[in-house]
Parts: sequence; structure tokens; C-alpha cells
Amino acid sequence: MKHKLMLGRYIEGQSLLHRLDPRSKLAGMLCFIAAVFLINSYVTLFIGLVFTLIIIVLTKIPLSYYIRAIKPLIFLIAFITLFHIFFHTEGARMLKVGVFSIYSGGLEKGLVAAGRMTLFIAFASVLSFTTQPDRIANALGSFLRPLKRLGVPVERLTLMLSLSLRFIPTIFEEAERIWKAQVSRGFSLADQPLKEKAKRTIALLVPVTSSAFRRAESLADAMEARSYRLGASRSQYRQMLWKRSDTLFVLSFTLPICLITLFN
Amino acid sequence: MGITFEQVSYRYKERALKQHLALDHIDLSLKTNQFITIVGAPGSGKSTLLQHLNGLLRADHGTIHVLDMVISPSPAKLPKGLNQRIGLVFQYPEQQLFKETIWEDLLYGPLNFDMSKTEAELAAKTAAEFMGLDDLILAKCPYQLSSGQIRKAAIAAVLAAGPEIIVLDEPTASLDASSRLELMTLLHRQCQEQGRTVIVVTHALEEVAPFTDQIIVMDEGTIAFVGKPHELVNRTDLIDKAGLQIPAAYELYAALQKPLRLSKLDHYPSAAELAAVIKAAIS
Ligand SMILES: Nc1ncnc2c1ncn2[C@@H]1O[C@H](COP(=O)(O)OP(=O)(O)OP(=O)(O)O)[C@@H](O)[C@H]1O
Ligand SMILES: [Mg+2]
Repeated sequence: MKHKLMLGRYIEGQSLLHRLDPRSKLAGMLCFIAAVFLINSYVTLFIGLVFTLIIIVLTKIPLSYYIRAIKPLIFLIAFITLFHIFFHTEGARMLKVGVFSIYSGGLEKGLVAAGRMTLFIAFASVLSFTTQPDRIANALGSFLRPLKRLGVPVERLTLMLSLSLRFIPTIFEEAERIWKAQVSRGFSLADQPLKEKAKRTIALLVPVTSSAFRRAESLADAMEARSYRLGASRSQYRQMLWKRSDTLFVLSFTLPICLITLFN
Repeated sequence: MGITFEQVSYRYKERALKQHLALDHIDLSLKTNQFITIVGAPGSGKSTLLQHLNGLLRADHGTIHVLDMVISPSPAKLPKGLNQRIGLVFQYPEQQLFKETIWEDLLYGPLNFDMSKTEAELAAKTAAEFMGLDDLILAKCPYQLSSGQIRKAAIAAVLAAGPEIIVLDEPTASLDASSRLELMTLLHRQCQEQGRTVIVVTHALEEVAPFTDQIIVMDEGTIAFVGKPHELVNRTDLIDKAGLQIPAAYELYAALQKPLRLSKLDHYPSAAELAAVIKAAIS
């Protein structure tokens, strides 16, 4: 647990991005996903990268936080990259290693795929670092509201979502606490064979899960005790307020989309 | 051998960008084999300090010497046996018990520290008796216990591993008045009879005053005072800041000191001691 999980955490701050309406951030996120899907070359990857870096600078959160968010997924990214490099045979042959050959097209595909994943994670981190989970859920809820007429249980979905978003960091903290409790009574992963390591890590899941269930139970009690009812009209503590900066923020995403389409 | 902090600093990093220092260049030197009390306002860094003693938190800077072990900032390895020799009872003991039953929890430490099964069972049994946990409680799962019982179980689980230094973070919270006194007396006995070091965090001076050899006052991540408990009495600034209360018996003694021409005290008197002194003075 040396590398604390950063993905899905909220980090307090006063930046422009912290102050934006969660709906505009969510809309921006969707635009960004579209833009990233369009990326398929070094040049367009570079454009996406520059744009992401600008947004990251605007959050006023150090780059090291984003790097920590990406770290746990580094193996997945590496795997995808290698997969592309070894199995695409377009372009000029650059290198021959035993039975494998590396082609320039494969290399580009691999690196671009890695870049796209990295951009996704970085941008998802921008959203979660600068927006409290319940605000993300509220924004999603307001996007889904039109579906209510079609009989979609929007409120239930929003509540579910906001509770699960709210609980992700809690469960990590819980795991960390139980980990601390075990470590302070002699539990150790160091100097253990791999099999034992796996066994002990899984053993950690049992108390974490059971305590998550207990937490859920007491949360349900607490909500009931304070007369929470699904569908009841309720005022919100934090009103969502769409400002001009929000419109500008969403519009700014047309720039990378256009540029990426242009250079494709 | 003792406990020494040299310029130890720690900052919680995960949540917010600009966290103040939870420990701010701490220098501290303590002798072992005594009863040490740590007090301070909420958020002054007491729990953070304690968690540095057994390596749960690693200092950003500075070195900690405990017994004959040296804890350097990560990535240096933690010394072997640190967890066994220093037992930590958490501030929230329900976070500390994670096994299905209390009995299994008591066995967890001893078994991890390479005791044989019979040795471990003996250690667990002894600790359970020491803390007054009966078989009925031992068979239960932690969530079926009252918070006072959980507290006792958590302390027993730490004692079972036989640590040389026992560190307890607000152990008397959620205990009734008589259990509090009983617990402090038990801990004091551990100190005197077994030669163990006891470190207790508390908000109630009254509870620990008769037992404490050294008291430490923390303030905003620094050490504001180290000394004998009765020496603290004139530092009203610290006492107020830490939200402490001078034990009533001492206040009474101080008030009667001039009229009854009592001698200066070098400790906090118990109520019984005070009564005896007053009796002697009037007759
Ligand atoms: N897990 C954490 N993440 C971030 N900040 C923390 C964390 N734990 C404690 N802090 C902060 O570090 C400082 C010291 O906290 P600590 O828990 O050591 O105080 P304490 O003296 O034990 O207080 P109390 O008497 O309330 O238990 C506080 O300002 C607190 O807000
Ligand atoms: Mg504390």
C-alpha cells in the first residue's frame, strides 16, 4: 500500500476546474472521449496530449498526482502496446527479434493506443480530482432526467451511483485500515513467496467486504432515520449553477476535436 | 535504550494539496520502563506520533530510535521485530479487530510472531483474563460487542503478543469510570512488574496523573512540554490550549496550601491522600 490509490479520489482545491459546474465537466469529458477516439496518429496524439496538459495545468494539481493515478494501470497499458507492436504488420520493417518483427505501423499503433489510454485516465482523473463524487452523480442525474418520462428509474439510478461513487474511496480507506491493523500485529507480505502473497492479499478481502456491507447497512439506517424517501422532493445543498465559464469550457473541446479531425 | 525522535516531520498527503505538517520537526527523548502520557488538543498530532512508533506511518524526514531499533524514512526497511516489540492499540479499536471471533483475533498476533500453537493459546488466554474477557465474549464476533468490550478486546489482542512497549491511543474512551481506573492500574502494573513501557494518549489528566512518570503536551504538531505531571500545573496556557483540567484534588490542595500551611507537592495527590493531609493539618 505504498502507492495509495489515486484514481477516484477528490482533491480539495480552488482552481478554475474545481469551480466549474459538474455538468459542464461531464459534458467536456464526453467530448474528450470522442476526441480521443478520433486519435490515430502521432500528430493527433500530440494534439490530444497538449490539450490534456493544458487542462491539467488549470487544475493546479501537481503532475505527480496524475502519474500516481496512472501507475496502477501501467501493466495494462504496456500489454496493449506490446500487443499492437507484435501483431501489426503495416509499414516498414524496423527490427527483427527472433520470430518477431517490429513494423513502423505497429509501433505507431502501439504507442498511439498507449497514449490514448493514458489520456483517458488522465482526464478521468481531472474529473474525479476536481469534483466531489456526489456532484458527479448529481450531474449525471440531471443528464438522465429526460429519460424519466420513458419510465427509467432515474432517481434510483442516481442514488445508486452517488452512493457507489461515494463509497469507492471509503472502501479503499477501509482496506488500508484493516491492512494497518494486520501489519501492526505482525502481518507482512515482504519475504513471502508469491503464492503466500496472493493468499494473504485475498485474505484481506474478507474483512474489507464484510465491513463494507456493515457500512452500507448503517448508511441505510442513517438515511432512513433522517426520512430519506426515493422520489420525495428534496432541496440540494449545493445548487448546480451553469455559468459562462461552463459554456466556454465545453466549447473549448471543439478545438481538439477539430484539430484532430483535420490532421487525421 | 529509550525512545528518541530526531527532527521528525510528517505530512498527510493524500487528501488535500496544502496540508500543514502533522508532525513538525519533532525532537523528543524518553526513557523506557516508565509510564508516559501524551496530551494535546484534538488534531495536535498525537495519533500521528504514535503511529510512527511502530512504522505504520513513515516520517518524511528524521530518524526515530526505539529500544535498539532505528526507523529511517522510507524506503529504508523497517527493523525486524518492530511490530512485535511495540504494540499499538488504535484510537478506534473497532478498526483493529478483523477476525471472525475475538478469540481468533487474540491468537492472530502471537501466531504471526512465531509462537507455537500452545504458546499462542496460553498468551491469548492470559491476556483475555488480564482484561477480564470471559469465554462468552471470546466466542463472539467483534460487531456483537459493546464499544467498551471491543476496547478491552483490542487491548488484550495487543497484550497477547507480549510487546515491550505498549502504546494506547485514548484507551479509556468508551469505558465506564471504574473500568478506567482499573485499566490504568493494570497498565501501571505492567510497567512496574514486567518492566514494560506504557505510552497513553488521553484527554483526562485526572485519570493518569497518579501513574504518570513523564507527560508530553503536543500542540499543532510540535512538542510543547515534556516533564513531570505536577510541573505542568503552572503552565495554564498549555493546559487551556490542550483542553485539560487540573485534577480537582490538586486544585483543592493548592487552595488550602497557604491557610493550612501545607508543604509543596511534587506530584498530583489522590483524593485519599488529600484527605489524610487535611486531617493531619486540622488536628
Ligand atoms: N488520514 C488523514 N488524512 C489527512 N489528514 C489527517 C489524517 N489523519 C489526521 N490528519 C490530520 O493531521 C493532524 C493530526 O491528526 P491526529 O489524528 O494525529 O490528531 P490527534 O492529536 O490524535 O487528535 P485527536 O485528539 O482528535 O485524536 C490533524 O490536523 C488532522 O486533521
Ligand atoms: Mg487521535
